[in-house]
This record gives sequence, C-alpha cells and structure tokens, in this order.
Amino acid sequence: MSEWISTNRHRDSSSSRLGATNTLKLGRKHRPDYLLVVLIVALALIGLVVLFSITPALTNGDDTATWHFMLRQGLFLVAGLIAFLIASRVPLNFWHQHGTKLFVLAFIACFALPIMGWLKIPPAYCTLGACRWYSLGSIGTFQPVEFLKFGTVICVAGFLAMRAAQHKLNSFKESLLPLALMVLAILLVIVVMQKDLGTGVALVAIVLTQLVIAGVKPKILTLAVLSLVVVGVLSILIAPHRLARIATFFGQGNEVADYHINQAMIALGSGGLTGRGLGQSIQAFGWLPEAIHDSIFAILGETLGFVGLCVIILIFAALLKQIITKVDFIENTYLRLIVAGVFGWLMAHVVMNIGAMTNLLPLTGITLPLVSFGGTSMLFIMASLGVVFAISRYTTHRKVELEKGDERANPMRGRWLGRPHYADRRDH
Amino acid sequence: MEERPKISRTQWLTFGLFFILAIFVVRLFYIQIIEHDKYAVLADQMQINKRTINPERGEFFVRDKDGTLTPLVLNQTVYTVFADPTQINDIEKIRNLIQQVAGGQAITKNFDKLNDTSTQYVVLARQVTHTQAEQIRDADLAGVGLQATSRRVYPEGSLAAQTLGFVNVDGEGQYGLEQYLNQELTGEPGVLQSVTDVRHIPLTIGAHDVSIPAKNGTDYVLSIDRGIQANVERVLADGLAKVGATKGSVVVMETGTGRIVAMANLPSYDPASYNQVTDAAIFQNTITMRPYEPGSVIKPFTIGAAMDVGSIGRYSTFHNTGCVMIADARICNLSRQFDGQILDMTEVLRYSLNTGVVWALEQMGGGDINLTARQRFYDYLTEHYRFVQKTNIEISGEAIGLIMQPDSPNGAKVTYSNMTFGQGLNVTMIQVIVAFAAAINGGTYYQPTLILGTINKNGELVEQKPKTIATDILKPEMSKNLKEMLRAIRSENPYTLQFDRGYYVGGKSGTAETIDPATGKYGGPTIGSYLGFIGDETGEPKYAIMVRVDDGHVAAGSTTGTAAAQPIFDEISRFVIDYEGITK
Repeated sequence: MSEWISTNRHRDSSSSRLGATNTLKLGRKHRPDYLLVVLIVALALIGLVVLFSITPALTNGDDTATWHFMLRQGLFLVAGLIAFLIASRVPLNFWHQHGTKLFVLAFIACFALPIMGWLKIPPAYCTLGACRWYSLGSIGTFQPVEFLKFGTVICVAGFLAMRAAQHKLNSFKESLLPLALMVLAILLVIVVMQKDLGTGVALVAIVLTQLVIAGVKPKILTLAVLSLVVVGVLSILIAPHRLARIATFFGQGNEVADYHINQAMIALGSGGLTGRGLGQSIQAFGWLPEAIHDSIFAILGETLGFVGLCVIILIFAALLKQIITKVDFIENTYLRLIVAGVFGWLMAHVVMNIGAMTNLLPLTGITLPLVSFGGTSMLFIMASLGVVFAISRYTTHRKVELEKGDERANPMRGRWLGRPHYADRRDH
Repeated sequence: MEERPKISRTQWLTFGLFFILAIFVVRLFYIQIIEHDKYAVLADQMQINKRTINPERGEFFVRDKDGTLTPLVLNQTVYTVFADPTQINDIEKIRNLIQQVAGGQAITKNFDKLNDTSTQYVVLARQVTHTQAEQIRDADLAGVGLQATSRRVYPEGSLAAQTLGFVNVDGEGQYGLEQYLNQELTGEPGVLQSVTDVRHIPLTIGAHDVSIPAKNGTDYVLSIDRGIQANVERVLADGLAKVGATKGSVVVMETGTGRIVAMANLPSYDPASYNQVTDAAIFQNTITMRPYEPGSVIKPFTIGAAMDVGSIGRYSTFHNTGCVMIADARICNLSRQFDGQILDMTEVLRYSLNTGVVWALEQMGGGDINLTARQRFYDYLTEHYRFVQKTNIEISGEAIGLIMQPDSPNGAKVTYSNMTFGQGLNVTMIQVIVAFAAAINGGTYYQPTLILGTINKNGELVEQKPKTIATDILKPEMSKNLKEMLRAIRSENPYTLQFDRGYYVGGKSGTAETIDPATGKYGGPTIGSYLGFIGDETGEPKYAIMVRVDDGHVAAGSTTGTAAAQPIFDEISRFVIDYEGITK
C-alpha cells in the first residue's frame, strides 16, 4: 500500500496525463445535474415523513420525546444536506490531492476502534461484542466505516486512474497486488475486527465497480471475484453469528435468528397493495427490530404498500442510473472512477438492504441509503453524492469513446479536436 | 489489451442494476400482493391481542332481622402459580419459595417437571391467596406466573347448603340456586381486542379494536332469613337427634307472598368443600327433589276440597266405624278409641281419622268413591293444589311427584281412598307447603320463591314482587273454615297450647307408611311430617311451616308425625313468633 502512495507522490512526469503538477485538468464548467438533487431530496423526504409517522412508536407516545426525536431526525437531514453542499463546492482537485490522506485517516479511525474497545477506552462504543462506533456524547455516535467508504472511493479512484495513465492497470505487481493488499487490510479491520460483513461487502463492491469501470481485463475481474468469494466464505465460517444468519436465509435457522426477517416479511406482506397508511405502522411498535435503521424498507412497505415501494425503487433506479450514466460522459479517468465508486457504494447498500428485507439475501445489517435513520451514513453518502454533483458540472455532451488499446481517452486530445465536449445545451 | 465491448461496461452495470431491482419488484409483488392475505393473518394473530374479560359471578345475600344484608356466598380471587420450564433459570430458588409461601397448597409432585423443557406450563400451587400471590410476584422469578381465578366462599359455612348448591371447578353451578340461576349468575364475558405493541400494550391505532365490558352476574338477595334459617337448622338437628334420626327437612314460607324464609335439609355439607362429599345424595334438596307419601298432612286438603265443592260442610258429621271396606281393601283408623262415635270434620282432623276423610271423598261422589268423586278429588289435587307439576322454585332438578289417574282401571277406588289420608300419592314438601298456604290464606296460590330481589348497580335492593299464580284454590269462606279447624286442633290441645301461648297457630301431623324395599309392601319405617301455620291476632296466616323426619325412632304407641316432626314444628313456630314479633 505504501508503495503506491509513494509512487503517487513521486509524480512520475513521464506518464502523468492527469497533469504533471497533480492538478486535474477539467473541462468547461457547466450547470450541474439538478435531477440528482431532486431524486436525493425525494428519497430523503420520503424517509423523513415515514420516520416522523412512526416516531410515536419509538418514543412510547411521549410528546416531548417525540418532538426531540423528530428534531434530531430533521437535524441529521439538514447536516446531510450541508455535507452535500460542502462536498459539491470543494474543488475536485482537493480530493485528488488529499484522497490518500483521507483514506489513511479513515483507516486509522476504523483500526483504532476495536483496539480502543478491547482496552475499554471511553469513546469506543461497542454492542454485542462489535465495536463500530465512537460515542460523541449528546451529538450521537460516529461510525468511521462510513468515512472509510468515502475515503476508499476517493483513494482507489486516484490509484487506478494513475495506473491506467501509466498503462499498468492490468499489471499484477504494480496494480492488482497493492490493491488486493489494501482490500485485505480493509476487510481485516472491518469484517474480522469490527465484525461487520455487510460493510465489508459494500467496500468490496466499491472497489470492484471501480475496477470494472477502470477497464481491468475480464479474466482478472473473474479472478478477483473468485478470490473474494473464497475470502467471503472463510469469513462466514469463522463467525458463528454469520453462520446463523446464513442458516436463517436457507430456512434452517432457529426462531430467534429467524425473528428479524419474519417480522420484516410480516411488515411487507401486511402492507399489501397500498399499505396501512402513514402513522398506521404496527410493526414499528417494537415488533420489527431496527425499524428506523436497517429495517426501514419493511416499515415503508407496511406504511406505503407495494405501490409506495415501487415508487421508492423507481427513484433509486433513476438516481443510480443517473449516476452511472455520468461515467460515459466524463473524460477524466479519476472522476469516472469516483462516480463509479459512489455508484457501487449506493448500489451495494440498496441491493443488500432490500435483498435482506425481502429474504432474497442474508441479513447483513446495512442501511438503505438516504432513507434509513443514521447520522454517519447519511452524512457520508450525502458528501459522496455532493462530489458526484460537483463532477456533473464537467460532463461532455457526447458519450466519451474509449480507443482500443487505451484504457482512457486523452482528455487533452479530445479537447483540441474541437468537439463541443463540455457543452451543455441547457447552459449555453 | 481489451477488446472494445459492443455494450459498454456502464451499460452492463446499468442492466445488472435494473435486473436486480426488477427481481425485487417481482419479489415484493409476490410478498405484498399474492401472499398479502397470509401475512395479514400472521400480523393480526401476532399484533392483535384478544382478551376475554371474565364476568364476576353473582353473589348471594340474606337479610338479617333488622333488614341488613349479610353475604351468604361471595367470590374470592385466588391464584394458580405456574411455571414455564423453558423460561426459568433457578429451579432450586423456585422450589424453596413456593414451598415456603404456598405451604400446603404447593403441588410438590409437580416440582420435578420443572426440568422438563418440553412443556411450558407446570402448575406449582393452586388456590393461593392474594397475600401469598403478592409474595411470589415480589420475588420476581423468571418463568413463574400467576393466574387469577375466582372461587366461592361461604361466610356462613353450610347454612342452607342444599338450597344454594355449589360451583364446580369449571365455574358451573351445581344443584340448588347455583344451578337454577346459573345463567343469570354467570353474566356475560366481555371482550377486549386491540392492536398491541411487542410488549402487548394496547395501541390506539388499528381498526380492529373492540371493547365490550363484561356483564357481571346478578347479585341476589334471598328471601331466606338468616336468623330463622340458622334456628331452623339448629332445631332440626336437635329434633332429629332426639329421635335418633339422621334425615330431616324443614321449610318455612310466608303465606302471603310465597317467599321461603327457611329451607333446611339434614344431613348437610359444606359447599366450600363439596368435593369431599362421597354420597351425592347429600347434595339433593329433599324439599324439592324427593317426593314422598306425606301421610295425614294431606287430610286438610281432602276436607278442604270436599267443603269447596259443597259435598260436606265444616260441621258435617259422620259415623265413625273404625274401619271401612273399600273394594277388597280394609281401611282402619290408627286410633280406635273413637269407634262408633258421631264426629264432625274438625274432629276428623284432630283425631286424624282415615275413615272420616274416606267418607268425605264418598260425599264428593254422592256417597260413593265413583269416577265423579275421584275426578273431583283429582281435579283439586292437580288443578287447585297444583300437585304433579313444578312449583318453579329456584332450585334445579325439581321433582313433580305422581298421582294416579281417576279413571285407572284397577284399584283406583282403593288408591283414591288412600290418597285422602296422604298415602298412594307422591308429592314434594314444596308442593304441599305452597298448596297449604293457599288453602288457608283465602285461596291465593303464590309462586314460591327463594329470591327477595336483586342488587342493582348502586348496591340497592330491588325487590321482586310476589307473584300470584291463582286465587281460587279454595273459596275464601272454605279457606277460613279450614284454617280455623286446623287452629282448633292446636288451641284445644293443652299440650300444644303451651308452645303456642295463645298465638294463632294451627297444624296437622302425619305419619306415612313407607314401602319396605325388602318386601315391596307397606311396612318400612314411617316418615313423620307436620304441616302448620302461624297467624297474627286477626287470624291472618303469616307463615307456613312444614317438617319432615325420615327415619325417626319413637316409642310404641306413638307416631313419628307427632313425636318426631311435631316437636320440631313446635319449637320453630315459637321461635318465629318471637323473632318476627307476631301479635296475638
């Protein structure tokens, strides 16, 4: 890992198409994609409204507590929007220059947590033997893995973009081995030490998506997926609680292990076509565990029914489509890979969360992005979307064609060919 | 280097994403639309808590002399202690606590089942009191629960036991008032149905909420007077002891209302421990359930009927021959010292002359016990005196008795002759005393009842009005004659006078022969009865009293009617006069 970082800092001028001064060459700035904002706000508002509607269930109908809870939820959303705004205003060069530092910082935060937990140092907050949070007193808790996902997106994008520019993307020694070591280090901390398989899968999904978009050979991709499957199986076999969840998934679990998923199915099934209606959720009253966090999708299904869930899935589809489509209209590899990473991140969360709630995938305890109540998750997903929003200012008008034999089109070349790359009809 | 794909990698990812999301939509369609009913049912089963609210069984109260209400039958909440072996964690602690708190109520043989996790319900103790239950609850042992149940308690012990009946373990009334009034006493269960949270605390949301309060059973105030009942039971017990008898009954009724103020049977039992009774016959209320041949206490009814149809008058006389032949049967008087005398009807009752009442029956047929005589007598017994039908007193399992039809082909004449002095017909004491009250009170037959009224929501007594069934049992004049004739029997007798002390008291004894089960013929032990009344200074009857002694042993030459039953009547009538402040 340190090898490639130092390489990055070395600024190999002979191969730097990103600019010898480590500065991103950006095209003409145009109006950003406001549809992203519309879709994000739509999801967050649906989440907030349903959350508000079940708040009495969470506070036992205590008016003061209900008000406080609603205020907190609102503040989290506001904080998320602020994170989005800041991230969308930060110059893209900033991420390019400090991506590695952010990743290292996040990694240390994650790595220190279980150690502090074992040593019983106060800020570390552990439940059920898993140390995943820093306690921040009255503000709440901070989950550093969310930061790590953000850092991973930025950092891996930088690394792969550099290797791509060096035409060493498919080099085992220089590109794939360092990346594999990095992923293994992440998995060691997240899956083994923090016992959080879901987040591990999300992180792997981020990196894999970035590898796919970077243009790694299919053979290597297949190899990577196969080795990850082996790692995944091993990680399941060494942890009894994961085995139990897998057993539940295959209908072999005991009543306690099945409880969560059964309650989610009852919530969804009893919702029917149009749902019980806002404020009519019964499963939120303690029946369904994690009602406002990982299980919010089931509560949405109970409240808004099949129709409501279809709308939500449609919004997610539109948002993800909107994000991934950007990739084809960005010439800069680094930015492409950031967008790909954010896509992988969101998609992993959406698929794993909905998959678990509909009993298609084992339960991994992962949030539904933008909808679940959860400060840290909301904050960093918003920030990453803010970055995507910022990148959306620099899309080309036409699809970027990748030349054969070149993983990345040379943005400089394209630019001088006089194509209206950065034009946007709406803007000009 | 890579071949340029025909479809870009972003497109592949997009397709992949849409494919997965489409699977989700299909899956959701399956869960939310196709399997909606299944999950809706599952949700309801889990979320909706339906609870039956048990109504409280009605209680019984009796009046004291001053009119205050005293509970006779009450409910007490007791608890069943149970454990769920799958939930408990300290068997030793549970054993010790239950043994220490519940003591004798602990079901120690069940303690071994605490290890058996295949069951979720082991009863550790039954009938634990509220105080004991609180101690168990305060110990807060995991997996140990309390179940409230109700049991009947009897502050007056065995008082009026057969009249009350008891309540079995299933909460159903058995025998007596408890069974007869079971529906009214039970009330109606309420339902509390609501959507609840995971701790089963009801929520305000949901359209399934139902709240029907339980309708508690009716509380009754009995017409039984606690003082009279207690005295009657004591006097009856003493009276039976004096003649070496074990079985006897007394019923005391208000002649002007039909209300029963005392109803006692011996041997008796304690309803609280009814399950220790080995002979179920003890549960039976002899007064309403065991018809018998009452003997000469029927004679006033015969004279009354003959006077009422106009066949004889109060002062009609007949020639007492001591014995008469009816068909092939010879009917004789018990006392032969009046043979050959011309006697009137009062003397027939006083000396209890069988030949006299047979003569009266003959007069109803114009001098012969023909079909007309039998028809008329039968009509009086069944239509006027209302024998062979239920009186509908509030005691379950009332018997109706048996009287031979007047047109029966064989032996009707002899049987009807026997019936004039209370043999050859089966009646219950309750039938006799109600008919007797009607025969002497001017002819009004009141519905006999054990119920004075009910207690309303405000705790006030709502009296039940006396119910008149018929007013023409006997013509008022004939009723008055009969009453005066019966009074004369006691007032002109120095022995009875000492009890009556000049009060208006009348009565007639009876000693019935019974059929010996060994031979199938008359010759078994005699049953002694006494039927009388108490009137006020104007002679208006106030109380009728009937006594029955089944197995008394009296000296030769004496009868169980006069030596076993009558002393009990004497005692009770004197007590009632004083207790109720009857004027003279």
